[in-house]
Amino acid sequence: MNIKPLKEYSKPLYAIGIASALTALALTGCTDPNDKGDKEVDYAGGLAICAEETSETKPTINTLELEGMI
Amino acid sequence: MNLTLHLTDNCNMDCSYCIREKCPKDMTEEVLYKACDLAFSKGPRAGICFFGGEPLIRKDLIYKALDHCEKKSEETGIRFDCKMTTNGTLLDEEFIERAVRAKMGIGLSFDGKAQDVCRIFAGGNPTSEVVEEKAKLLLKHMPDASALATIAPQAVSYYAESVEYLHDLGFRNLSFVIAYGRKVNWTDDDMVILREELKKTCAYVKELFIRGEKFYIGPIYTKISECIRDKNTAERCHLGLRQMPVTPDGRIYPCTSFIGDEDYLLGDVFNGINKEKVFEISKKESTPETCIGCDLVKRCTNSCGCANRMNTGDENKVSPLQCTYERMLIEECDALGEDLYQINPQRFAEVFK
Repeated sequence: MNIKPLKEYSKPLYAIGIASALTALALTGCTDPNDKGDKEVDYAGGLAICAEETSETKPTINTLELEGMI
Repeated sequence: MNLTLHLTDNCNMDCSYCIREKCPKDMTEEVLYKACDLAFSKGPRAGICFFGGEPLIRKDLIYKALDHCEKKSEETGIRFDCKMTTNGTLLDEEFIERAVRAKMGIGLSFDGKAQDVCRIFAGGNPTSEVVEEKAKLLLKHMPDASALATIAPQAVSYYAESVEYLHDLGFRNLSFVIAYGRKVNWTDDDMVILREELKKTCAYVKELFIRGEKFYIGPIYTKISECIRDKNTAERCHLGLRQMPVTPDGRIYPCTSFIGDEDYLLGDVFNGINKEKVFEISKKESTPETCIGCDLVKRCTNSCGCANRMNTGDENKVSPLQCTYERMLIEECDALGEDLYQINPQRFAEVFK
């Protein structure tokens, strides 16, 4: 095992192509294309590590303030 | 604000990968109520996660906290959310009914087919039969409950089988993470097996997708959906400042693995949180030096200070294990994403948007 920075990685096609699929959904009127949803599990992992599972985004000073941390 | 309450440092299990030191130290009612009040003191919502040790050893404290917070929520109009991570062995109908009334989210730590490899009772007895029964009881009342599995190297060959088993048991929300820390030793051979298990798991997810089943498994779904949303995974942890743990004696730290390190002490439930300290930590650079310049820097969990600290002793140093695992995971998830997108783009968008 080693630390190996990856080069020449390109974004997968599914991530590029999905924009058109989302547009199609919006046109059918079934789903709000701006609805990001939130299906992530974010239980305190503690010992099990929550590395993959927190739904947190980087708290800027403003968001920390909003959430009452500062 | 969000707080994780370590109601007790005691546990009725003795998991081989667990790095927490067990001791018979429980949270007092005074600390409990102060912590609940602190959660309501700032911000637009109050979030409490019940944690341990094993939190259900102190069910009484959970009942008291729920009553207190629900009353507080009524009085203040501040929304209250709660969740719990438990090994499940002490779950019973009465507790689950109360949890349902509180709209509590429950994450059941359950390693599936690998349960008895690493997760045993203190004393050495296996736990799988008990936990399977409790899982059925939980799912009967809470069909959206999550199973949280931790895969250690000695159980890695059970990965895919466990995903299928937990799905068949009725779980529709799974989280699979690999075990980190000083008690596990991943070898190159283990990583080869892990790769095979990930491939088998992705094939199973594909099968479920084709069948139209609604099923969520982290980290696979997370990797795909965050790529679509162009979300920077590396910015997600930030030392857990948005979900701070409270120890049984009321001290507050940024994340579980920092508990006991006085350099990271943020305050306590009696005197509140040191704003300068939070500010200082929130500004810390979170991308490890070795990851700068890597094309996957925004897609991997290199900045999880908690995992880094457990693996390397330094929150800003990623381990070879994590780098290898993340590269492997992203590669397999992207291959799965391409497959599913080709099969049905519209459904793919619905599932992963």
